[in-house]
Amino acid sequence: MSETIIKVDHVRKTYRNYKSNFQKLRHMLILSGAGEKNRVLKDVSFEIKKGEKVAIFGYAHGGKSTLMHIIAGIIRPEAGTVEVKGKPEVMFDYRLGVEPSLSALDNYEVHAKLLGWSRAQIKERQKEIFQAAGLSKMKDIPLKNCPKGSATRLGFVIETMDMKDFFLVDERMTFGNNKINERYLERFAKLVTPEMTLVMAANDFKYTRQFCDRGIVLHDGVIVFDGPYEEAYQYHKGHPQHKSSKTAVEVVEEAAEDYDDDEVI
Amino acid sequence: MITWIIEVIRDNVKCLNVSLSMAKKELKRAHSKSDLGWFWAIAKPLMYIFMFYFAISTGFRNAKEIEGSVAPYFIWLASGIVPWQFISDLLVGGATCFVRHKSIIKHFKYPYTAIPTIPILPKLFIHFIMVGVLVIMALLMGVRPSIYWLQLPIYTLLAFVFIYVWVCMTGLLNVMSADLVEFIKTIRTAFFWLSGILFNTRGKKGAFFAYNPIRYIAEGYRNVFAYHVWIWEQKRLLFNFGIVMILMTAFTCLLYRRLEKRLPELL
Repeated sequence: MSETIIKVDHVRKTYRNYKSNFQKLRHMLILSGAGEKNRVLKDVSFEIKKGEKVAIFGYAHGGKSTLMHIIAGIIRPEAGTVEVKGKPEVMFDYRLGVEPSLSALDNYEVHAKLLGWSRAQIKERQKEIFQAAGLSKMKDIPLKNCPKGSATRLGFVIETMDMKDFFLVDERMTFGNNKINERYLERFAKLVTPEMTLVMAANDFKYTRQFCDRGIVLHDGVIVFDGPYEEAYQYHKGHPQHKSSKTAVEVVEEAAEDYDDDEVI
Repeated sequence: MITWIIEVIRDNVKCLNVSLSMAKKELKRAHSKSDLGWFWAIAKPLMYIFMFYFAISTGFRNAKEIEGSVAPYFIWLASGIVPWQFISDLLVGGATCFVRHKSIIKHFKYPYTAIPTIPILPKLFIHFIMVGVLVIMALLMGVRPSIYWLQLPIYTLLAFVFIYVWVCMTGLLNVMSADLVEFIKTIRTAFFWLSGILFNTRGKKGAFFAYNPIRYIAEGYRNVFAYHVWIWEQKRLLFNFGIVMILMTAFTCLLYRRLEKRLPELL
């Protein structure tokens, strides 16, 4: 039997929606007057074994991202435990530390250093990355003057360089529907191996069906289905709230608006 | 509090490579629009010093040698303004550090205690250049190199520690309420005038002079270049500075422990 890579045990998480900054300040300082509670994860437990490819389905703002961030160790659960074997590579933000007024090369170096690459690795991988991102001739040009989408393309290639054993992909990153993103999908497909453990957050199945064989459906903060991919998707699709929620394409388009190339992050 | 301090040192050492890279990027970004970028980075603070010297000597006719100072008035003035310039931008600008780098905090596992260092390092780099300029100016104006100059790294370290704790504290408070930046902007001018940057505060009484860490740091730079006093000779002021730093660190540690579990979701 294969080894358990992720063990999520009775995880709970509550966010608070504050009506005003004053309410937030008061709650933070003296623990009173808390805002409205939003229980995104009520009691979530599951295990993922080595080599499994899992899609986590759920409607928008339903806790998928929170769960992914908890597995990655970025957000702490309010209760319950998460055991993760090894260090997962995450793809939550293509534009980590991007500065549009600086060259693609400068941005590459900062992004790579944030990911913990050594100086030798940065130098060694540079050619391959700029070639894959289609920016070989533009590496000294400020990113804001490069064609639209260059920052995202560069970030995607950097983030997928270390796709080896264990990879987490957030919904905002599960590819859009334009030609550039189809290229991402192609590269991504080449990098996925049978041994790799892959967890993808998703709202529909357009971009996850070719990779995943298991589906976990998360509705109202609890797991309502855990089983084969197609059945999980059918279960999720049949849920009344699915119809009113955003599609993956809408989510990605929304994310693309957030990631305007001129924005200073 | 001790564990927090150990955590801060450990995380900052671990992330030094990334922080330096981000600082380099920030310096490049700040000067990317002008061809003479580096020249302006130094010309601006120099002009600031000359402007005050001109205003005080010509306007107020008050550029008298300071009692107890072995250096000319200009060097006395500049040795107060140089540390102030390092601190002043970060008094307000540092408060946005967590908000500005939220993409790193929200989408990446990165130690939060290494974030305040990112805006400090570019300013520290400019500060080193300004100290170099100050030393050259002092030598040109006839001030002899002295053994007291060896204290300079100690005061720079104290300035760094003070500004790190300040940036971390205001950065965390700013996550709770954006009004804080406006408040600090409002009181920044008060800090300038009540820290003895432009006038001699030696012998002046009052809690704000006695416990003001910025005044202590500015006086420290003057101890090096103008007064030639050892750091341990001013025990009372060193003690007061220590008390203020312990209180500030304790408060920042409390805030940090309160917010660290929820920082990504609050940004």
